[in-house]
Amino acid sequence: MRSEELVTEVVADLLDVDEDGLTPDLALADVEGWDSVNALRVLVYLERELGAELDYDAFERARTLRDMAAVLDAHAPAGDGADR
Amino acid sequence: MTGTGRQGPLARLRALKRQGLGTDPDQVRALIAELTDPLDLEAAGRLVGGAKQRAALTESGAFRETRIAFLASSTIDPLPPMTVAALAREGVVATTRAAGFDQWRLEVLGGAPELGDLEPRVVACLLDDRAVLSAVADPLDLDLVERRCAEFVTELRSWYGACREALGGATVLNTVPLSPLARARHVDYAGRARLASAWHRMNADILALAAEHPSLVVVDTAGLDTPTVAADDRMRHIASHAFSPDFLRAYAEELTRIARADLGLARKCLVLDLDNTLWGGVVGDDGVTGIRLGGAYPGSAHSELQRLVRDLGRQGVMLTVSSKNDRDVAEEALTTHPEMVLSREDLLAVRADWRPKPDNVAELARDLNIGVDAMAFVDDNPAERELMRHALPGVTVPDLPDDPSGYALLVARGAGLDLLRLTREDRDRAQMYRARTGREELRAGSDSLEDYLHALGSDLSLEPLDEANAARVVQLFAKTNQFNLTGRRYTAEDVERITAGGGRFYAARLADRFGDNGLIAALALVPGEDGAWEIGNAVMSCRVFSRKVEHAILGSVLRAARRHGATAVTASFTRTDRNAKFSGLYPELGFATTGTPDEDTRTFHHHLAEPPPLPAWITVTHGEEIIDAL
Repeated sequence: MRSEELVTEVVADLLDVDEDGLTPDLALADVEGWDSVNALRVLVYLERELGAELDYDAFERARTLRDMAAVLDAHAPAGDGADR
Repeated sequence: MTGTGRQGPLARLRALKRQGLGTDPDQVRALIAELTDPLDLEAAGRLVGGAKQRAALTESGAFRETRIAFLASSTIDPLPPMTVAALAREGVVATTRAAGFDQWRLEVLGGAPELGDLEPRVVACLLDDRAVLSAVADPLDLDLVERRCAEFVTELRSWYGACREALGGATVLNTVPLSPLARARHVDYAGRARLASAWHRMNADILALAAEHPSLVVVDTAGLDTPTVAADDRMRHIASHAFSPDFLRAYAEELTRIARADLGLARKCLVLDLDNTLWGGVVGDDGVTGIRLGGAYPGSAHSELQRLVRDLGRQGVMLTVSSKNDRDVAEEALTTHPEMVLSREDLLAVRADWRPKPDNVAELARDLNIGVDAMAFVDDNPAERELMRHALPGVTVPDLPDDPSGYALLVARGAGLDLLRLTREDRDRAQMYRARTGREELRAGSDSLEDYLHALGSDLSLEPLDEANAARVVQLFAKTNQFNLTGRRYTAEDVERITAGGGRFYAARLADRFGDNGLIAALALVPGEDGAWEIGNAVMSCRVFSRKVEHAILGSVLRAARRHGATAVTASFTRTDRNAKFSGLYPELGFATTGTPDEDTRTFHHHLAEPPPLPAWITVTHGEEIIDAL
C-alpha cells in the first residue's frame, strides 16, 4: 500500500472521519478531532503497521497528510509493505 | 492481524456506527471480540464510547450500564476507551471520565470536582512509581526510600478514605511496578536488593488494604497477562506514559472483570465438552481405556484442566457437561476411568447426546434457573464454539488454544467467573442446586402445591446485618432483578450511610429437608413519616420463588413494627422490566394503595391493625423478634 493511502486510512479509522474528505493537501489541523493525543495515536499506529519507528521530529513537523506520508517514505519506501 | 483495512473489524465497526450501533448490538460485541491489538481496542472504544453511541446501545435493551472514574499518576489516555471497548464486548455500556494528568491526589482531596457528579460505580486509580519516588530527594539514599515506601501506604490508606467519601463505589488500586531505570540506577546488587525489598513490602501492604475495606479491590499488577509493563521510553518522554499499551489493555481487561462482578454479571456455570477437552481422544472411538487422561503429556494437561474445574466447583461454579456422545459411553468414562479427577457428583448435569449444543446449553440454563448469559462454554472444537457464539451470543465462549497444555489457564482467566468477594452462598451454590433437583422430584410426587410446600419443611431465619453477611447482602441487592420491589441497589457505602441515619438492614436464610438455601433475601427498613417504618427495598433470590417466603418475611416485618409501636409500615413498588410478577405483592399482604399512582411507582400503606397470617408451611425460627425498633 502506498504511504499516502496508509496514512489516509489510519487517520480516517482512528479519528472516525470520512476518508473521501482527506485529500493529501488538507491541513492536519483541519481534520475534525485532530489534537496532540490523536497525533500520538496515529504515530504509534503507523509504527505498528510499518513495524518500524518513525522520526518523531519529522512527524511532528508534518502539516498535511502528504507531509506525513513523506515521513513514512523515509523509512519504508513506496511499494514496500505489500505483505502487511 | 490488525484491525485496520477496509474489511477489518474496525472498518466494519465504523460502518455499523454510521448505521446506528443499536441496529445490531450483538454485532458490536462480536466485532470488538475480533480485535487482538491494544491500539485497535482503544480505537474501538473511541468509536462506541460517544454519548450518542452509548445511548443507542443502552436503548437496544441488550446492554447493562456502568460508570467508571479514572485517576492516575501518569498519562492514561488509551485506558478509558480500552475499558469501554472491553466492556462493550461483554454487553456493558460504560460511561467514563478521567481526572487530569497526575491529579489523583488533588482531585480526591478537593472533593472530586471533576468526577463527583459522574457518581461512579467503579473508581480506578492507576499508580506508577513516580507517585512514590517523586517525593524522594535522593534516590540513592535507601534509608529515605525505605521511609518513603512505608509512608506511602499510610498516605494511600487516607487517600482511600477520602476517595470513598468523595466518590463512593468500588475503588480499584494496584501494586505499583518498579520501573527498570529506578532499579538499574543502583550499581550494586546489595543496593538493588534493599530497594526491591522495601518496594515489595510496600506493595504487600497495599494488597493488605483490601482486607481492611470491603469495597476496595487491589489489582496485583505482577499477575496481569501482559508481555510488557513499562511504556516505551520515547512515549515516556513525549507523553508522560508510564505503562505500555499491552499493560493498559491487560489492566482494562481486569477492570472489565471487576465492573462485571460489581454489576453481578459473573458467570455462574461452566458447560464442559468431554472428548479432547476434559480428556484427550474420543471415547466413542478409542474406548474408555483408550482416552488420554493423567500420566504423561497430553493426559497431564487434561488432568490439570480437571483439577482446575474441580476447584472452580468448590468455589461455587456450577459444573455441567455437554458432549456429542452416546450417553452410556460418556457416563461409563466419567464414572469408571481411574484417572478422572472430577467425580460424577461434581457434575450437576451431564448432557451426552447428538443434539446441537446450543439447545443443550439453553435447556441447562432453564433447568438451573439462570440466564444463558451466566454460562461459559468450554469446548476444544472451533466449529462448536462458533455455533454457540452465533446461536447464543450471551454465552461466554473462551477460545481454547490448539494445544491442551494451555486449557486450564485459559479457562481460569477467560471464563468470566471473577467475583469481588466469595461469599459462603457462592461456595455452597452447587450443593443448593443439587438439593433443588430433589425438591423438583418431590414436587412431581405431590398431589397439590400445598402438600408439596408442607412436605418441603421450610425453615426461615431472619438475621440483622453483620460483618459475616454484609458482602452477601450487598451482592443480593446488586444482582437480584426479578424479586426486587423498588430497584434500589444498595452498595456497601449506601448500607453504611443508611445505617448511620437510623435505617436497618436484615437478611433471611431458608433451609428445607433438601438442604440449606443459604442467605436468600435482604431488606432495608428506614424511618418513615410520622413514626411509620418504610421498606426501602426487599430482594429475594429466585431459587426460593413460589413458596410464599416473601409473605413470611414481610409478615414478620409487619408484626415487628406493631410490636415496637410503629404507626404504620409504608412501602413502594417500582416497575422494572423484570419484576412485574410481584406487582401485586403488597396488596396481597393487606397494604392499601396511597397517593396517585404514577406509571412506574406505586406507594402502599399498612395500618398494622391486622397483620396477615404467616404461611402455615414455613417454620419461622427467627422472625419478628430479630427486628429491632427503628
